[in-house]
Amino acid sequence: MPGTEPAEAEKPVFSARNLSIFARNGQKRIRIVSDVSFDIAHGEFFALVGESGSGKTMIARAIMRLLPRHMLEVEGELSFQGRPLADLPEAEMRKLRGGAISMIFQEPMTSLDPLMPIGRQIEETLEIHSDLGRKARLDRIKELLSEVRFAEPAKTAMLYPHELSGGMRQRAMIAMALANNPTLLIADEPTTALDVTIQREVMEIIYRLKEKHRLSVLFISHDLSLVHQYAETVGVLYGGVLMESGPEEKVIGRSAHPYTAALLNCVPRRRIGDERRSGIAGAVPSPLEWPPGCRFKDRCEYAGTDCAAGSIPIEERDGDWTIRCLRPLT
Amino acid sequence: MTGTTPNDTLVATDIRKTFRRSNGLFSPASETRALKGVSFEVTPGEIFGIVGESGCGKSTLARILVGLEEADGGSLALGARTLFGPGAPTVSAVNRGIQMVFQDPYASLNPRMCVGDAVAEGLAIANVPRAEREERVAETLSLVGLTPQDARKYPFQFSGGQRQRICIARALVMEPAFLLADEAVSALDVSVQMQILNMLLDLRDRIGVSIIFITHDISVVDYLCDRVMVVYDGEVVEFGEKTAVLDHPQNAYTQRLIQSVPRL
Ligand SMILES: Nc1ncnc2c1ncn2[C@@H]1O[C@H](COP(=O)(O)OP(=O)(O)O)[C@@H](O)[C@H]1O
Ligand SMILES: Nc1ncnc2c1ncn2[C@@H]1O[C@H](COP(=O)(O)OP(=O)(O)O)[C@@H](O)[C@H]1O
Ligand code: SF4
Ligand SMILES: [Mg+2]
Ligand SMILES: [Mg+2]
Repeated sequence: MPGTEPAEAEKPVFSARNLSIFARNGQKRIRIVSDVSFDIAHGEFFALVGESGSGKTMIARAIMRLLPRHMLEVEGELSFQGRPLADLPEAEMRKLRGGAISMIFQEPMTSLDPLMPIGRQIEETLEIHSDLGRKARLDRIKELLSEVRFAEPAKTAMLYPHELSGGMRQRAMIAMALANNPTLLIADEPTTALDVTIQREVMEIIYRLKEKHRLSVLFISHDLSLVHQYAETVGVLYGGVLMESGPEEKVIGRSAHPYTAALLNCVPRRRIGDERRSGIAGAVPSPLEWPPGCRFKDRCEYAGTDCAAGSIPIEERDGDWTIRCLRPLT
Repeated sequence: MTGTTPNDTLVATDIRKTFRRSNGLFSPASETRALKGVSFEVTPGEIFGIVGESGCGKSTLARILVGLEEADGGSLALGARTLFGPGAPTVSAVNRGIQMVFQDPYASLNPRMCVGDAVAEGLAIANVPRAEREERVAETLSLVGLTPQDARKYPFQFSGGQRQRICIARALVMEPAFLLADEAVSALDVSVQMQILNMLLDLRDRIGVSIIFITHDISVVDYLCDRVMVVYDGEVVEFGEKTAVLDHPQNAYTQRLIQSVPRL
């Protein structure tokens, strides 16, 4: 388009700089997320992948400022459209949530009210965040429900959550999340509980909306195949540390970090003869038992004594690829 | 013990099950036809996949095969023995030679029972003498990648993947001809999932146990299974060699299912 700034000059919609999250456990302070930095551009589909307990949900909730402050401390800077989120008064933060930043979860009932018809719930968020009149609100509800592929939006609006199947509830939650034209959509394992055919429908809806509205998406998942299919940029998290991040074709396609490569080796696929995929030995340790130095050290086949010595520096490549490892594979 | 030999084929014929639920005094009772006549065979030493989406009847079928639930119709035979069917006495769960592993390794283990006792439970019920029980428990724990010393520990001392190994040991200690795993790796992290899948492959190769592997995950079937049966709404819609079914699905539902799977 003539007149638009080149992509390089565009400020990221969201940025995390040296984000750390600590849990208070009596006198102890346990580091759950460590020094995580990443950016999400306008219209970018960014996937944060990691096994359970790697800190994905913590990061999402820290962005939304939904972590209980007396239990969890956040360090580092999270900024949205150039403004540090930590500085916003709670009233403004409330306006952002469900407005310019909205979130969908694995379990739709965490954001749907079982006692209220779907349409009324969407209307409530429109009342809070927009100044549309009643008629415009009702039109918007129908528009949103048809955007998430309900064939009869007016009818769906009258239904209660329990009258919908799991996949339909997920779509209703997406409609609600999109009600106020968010700039950033945070989706925390939105399809993990769904059957694959329904997962496919939900993913296609999210992807189409991203393309149509230039929505930025922070997509959280443990499924590398799904991430490969939809993400443009990928961050791989292990033990609260961002091990590798960058364009999908580099991180998943060329995997410089031993953990990324090992994780890819865990994805089941056609096996020929006696072949075995190597997987990863051992299990993810609890945050109380992380080894010093590289957190992947005890399970890494390339580990040396230097990997235990201290914090591992980040290597930057091509200006868009980061690798936190002393012995990158490529 | 079970009277079966490792060379027996498991033959299920026209298995049916309908659940009836009364919806209170004034509404009519509702019916769910969970299985509408399911037939298949599992040959000795093979890994047989049963795949389908939630609610299609997989767990109902599993419970019927192991004897935790009664079918409304149909029959099941292992070699020359009828396990249930018209005109034949129903063989009890402990004597079928089919042992089950469930999805949730946390719910399947009694937190107050030490691992050795949990694994030996079936043997104790079958009145196997204590010394032999201990020996078989130790052997079986080694078979699933744990140590005989682990017998003295309690479930909370183990990770999710290790607990699933304990559950598998508990099934294997009975020396079943068939191991039936219902979504047994679905709750595990991918790295641990791959360890368990490789362990199942090794068990089949080393002790020749046949495995009936129930899952909603096509990629896991592709990794693990020899043959696969696709179930949709209580019916078998496709059946055959894994490579044939997954590469050239004939049924419209199977095609849609396979197309929906994200690929790496
Ligand atoms: N309130 C809390 N106090 C202490 N640790 C917690 C708390 N909530 C979660 N954790 C720990 O933080 C880690 C990250 O959790 P989470 O963000 O939920 O991971 P993921 O979403 O990647 O599975 C886990 O090890 C979890 O046990
Ligand atoms: N005990 C039960 N009572 C009533 N309906 C049941 C019962 N168990 C299963 N069903 C129904 O039977 C169908 C098949 O369920 P299930 O065998 O659990 O499927 P799957 O394991 O493939 O998800 C579903 O519609 C389920 O709701
Ligand atoms: S820093 Fe060392 S232990 Fe960590 S991933 Fe790299 S080689 Fe492995
Ligand atoms: Mg989570
Ligand atoms: Mg089931």
